[in-house]
Amino acid sequence: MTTILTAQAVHTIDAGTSGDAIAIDDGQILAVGSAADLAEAHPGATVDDRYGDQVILPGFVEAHAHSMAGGIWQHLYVGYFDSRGPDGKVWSGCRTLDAVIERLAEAEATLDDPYEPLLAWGLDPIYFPGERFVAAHLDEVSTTRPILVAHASMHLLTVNTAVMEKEGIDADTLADGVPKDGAGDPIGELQEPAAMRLAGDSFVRFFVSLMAEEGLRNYGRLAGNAGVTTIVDLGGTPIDNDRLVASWKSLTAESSFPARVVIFHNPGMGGVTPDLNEIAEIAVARQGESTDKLRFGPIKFVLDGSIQGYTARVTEPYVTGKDNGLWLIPPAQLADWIRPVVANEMLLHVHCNGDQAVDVMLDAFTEATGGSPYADHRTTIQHCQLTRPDQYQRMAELGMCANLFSNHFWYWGDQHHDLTVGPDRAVGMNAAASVLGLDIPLSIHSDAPVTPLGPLHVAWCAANRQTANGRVLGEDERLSVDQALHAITLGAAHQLRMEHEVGSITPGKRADLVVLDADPHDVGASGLRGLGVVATVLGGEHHPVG
Amino acid sequence: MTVAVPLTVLGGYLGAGKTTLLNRVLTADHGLRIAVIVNDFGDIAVDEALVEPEDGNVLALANGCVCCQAVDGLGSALDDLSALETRPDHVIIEVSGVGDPWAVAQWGRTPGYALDGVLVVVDPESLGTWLADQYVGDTVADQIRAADVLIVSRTDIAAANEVAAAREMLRALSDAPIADGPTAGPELLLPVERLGRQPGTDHPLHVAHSFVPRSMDRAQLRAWLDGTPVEVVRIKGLVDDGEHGLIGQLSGRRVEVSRRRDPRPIDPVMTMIGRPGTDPGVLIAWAAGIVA
Repeated sequence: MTTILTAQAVHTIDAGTSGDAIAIDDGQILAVGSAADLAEAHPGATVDDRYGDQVILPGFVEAHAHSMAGGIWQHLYVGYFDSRGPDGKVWSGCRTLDAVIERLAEAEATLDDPYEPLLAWGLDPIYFPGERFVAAHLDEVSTTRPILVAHASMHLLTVNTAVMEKEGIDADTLADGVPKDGAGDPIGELQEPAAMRLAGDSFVRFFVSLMAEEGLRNYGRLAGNAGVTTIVDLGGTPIDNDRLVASWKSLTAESSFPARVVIFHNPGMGGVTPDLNEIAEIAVARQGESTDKLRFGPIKFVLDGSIQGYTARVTEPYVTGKDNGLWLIPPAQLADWIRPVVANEMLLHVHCNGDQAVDVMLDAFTEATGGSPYADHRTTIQHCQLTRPDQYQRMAELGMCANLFSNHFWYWGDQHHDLTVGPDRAVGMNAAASVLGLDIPLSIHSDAPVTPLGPLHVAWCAANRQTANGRVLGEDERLSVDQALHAITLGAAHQLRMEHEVGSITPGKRADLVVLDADPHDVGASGLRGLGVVATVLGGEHHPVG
Repeated sequence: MTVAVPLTVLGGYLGAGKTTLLNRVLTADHGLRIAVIVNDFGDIAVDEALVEPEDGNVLALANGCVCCQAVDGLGSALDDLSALETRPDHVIIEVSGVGDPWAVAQWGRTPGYALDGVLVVVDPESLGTWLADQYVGDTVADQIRAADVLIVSRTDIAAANEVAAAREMLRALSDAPIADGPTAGPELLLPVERLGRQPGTDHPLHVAHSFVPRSMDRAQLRAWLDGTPVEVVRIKGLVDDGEHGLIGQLSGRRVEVSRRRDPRPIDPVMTMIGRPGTDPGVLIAWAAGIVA
């Protein structure tokens, strides 16, 4: 049964196709053209004009996000920027600590059970310089109910006095990550995992819930709301975790789950130094369990930390804070980690935020492959934020891809300019135009939940490079609207080895579409983030937003 | 309330000699039930040791992001050990080659555990190379700065000038005691209180002295620990302070005094471990300052 979907405009992201209507049959794209031509070519087809006033693009592809982004919405959002939850509700940003307290108090008033902990997330103290969010703030909300607020970095919690009393956190607590006031009493901050876990039951509830099935369901909803039809879980699901794998299988089998999910396994997570040969075997075996909507096989490594956390590995020291970051894989071992992945021709994405991490990755990859990797390997450097021009040159020579964290300009661009790497490096961050200039396959990402899932916002960032304070960082590196749209569709699909299935509206590909309320070309670069997602279509199935 | 299980953190860069040291301690005749949380199963002598993997006593160490460390990693590993019917006498965590031992040591503050010591091993032949390495030089230096006690491995086979050079490099970064790997072992890794109770305190690898300390307050105990002579590498004990008691501890150069929470009465006791070859008189003389 063929359907002809008409629109005000269809942007195919495929130079070979154009028109204002799409013929779809059995979840696949049959043809693109004018509505009249398609009707003539497909007599008996049903014409569906529900999107007649709207604009259709290929469904967005997010190649760097974590399923925890869904799970975290089971808890109260108190972040600085507006953010849309899985139910479609937009939560306004809490621009002051008073606003944070007010939101917590509102939520507290709705809880019946006086012992149920109030759990919240998203607080980023970097936006409140000179202020410190401590137990005394939370005690204004309740002195009896346990309250835990996870900071945006997820490396820090603030808890109230009720939590500290319940868990025995006091002047005698020795852990380094429990700062004390002048009188020697803990202020309510718990820093890094060992101290965070002192929050006991509240902590366990918060973190265990992140990968619960309801959270994975939320992840799908977030994707749909953002116009994303193919999304990764980049290292969040260990492929040897049968419970999680089973959850994914049953969830993605539901027709209401609106996205395809690509599971990347991170062998460095939660275990011993991995036996990569064994991991490769498991990954290859799991690959056989893949379905239309669920893919196994790719591998992710994490080499360093984050720039705003001063844990990314950099060649030149940070301008304030620490000199350098930390390694999560010993540089000397990286080639050994890469070898079995390359030998099995598996897809590999490697997190490298700082330029020193990229140096190590390029050297290790060269060593592991003898400098001549197998054809079309698509090894991707994820984040790749501080990569230097000489490194991009090497990436091009080695056939690597770059997935840039363009959202940083809006969320931390001012902090990078003033505090972390300084103006000279800040203007060269996430150098998307340079990447395209070298013909390196490009994508751009949100890293949700680090920043909200939303390819249109990421595209806006890459096309404008504007900070929250209105600075433009590196105007020569701005993408055009078409380049930015390519990066969030076909560019990302290429890095997932799925460009033959998704990423453009091309006959033979899956009917995965996003419907927008206006035309990106009409609103231009500055209007990209204001575009509204009306619905997505996945394999011909319609998923209205909200 | 149960007694806190002592927890030792063993750090050092790749190839430093951590596993060799660990294996020697595990297979030594100490009669203790030791749980080891390792970063790499590779070469740990689990078959010969008193650890039984089927009991979950050798556990995987997480070195990933915050959530996996907290939920699936070290946090849950320690919870699993606490839940065992017979809790281990001691826990040793081997840190990954690029891990920060002091950050990992914070897990020793988990309820039910007590941080015993942070030991960092270096290989005299490669230390200079790694400290000068453009990628990991700062990581290795930070590991050395985190140590309560530093251990130079392979001093029996490395050239004497290399060992001396390694000691100098360590001294430039830290004032922690420096021990020789081939002779260091139980006296550094095993719980002080258990060593002191073993018969024959003139063990060839260490010198121990146990005594009953007089009652004192927190400041007095801390002052005594702070002044400890360098020959004494470890001290641990319980002191009567007129309340629930104080726990005093010296590990290398790190001193900690904490209040006991357990209301049950205590038998005050203090155990000191000296470096191999130390004149026991040094220990006895220092103990005299607070002996009952």
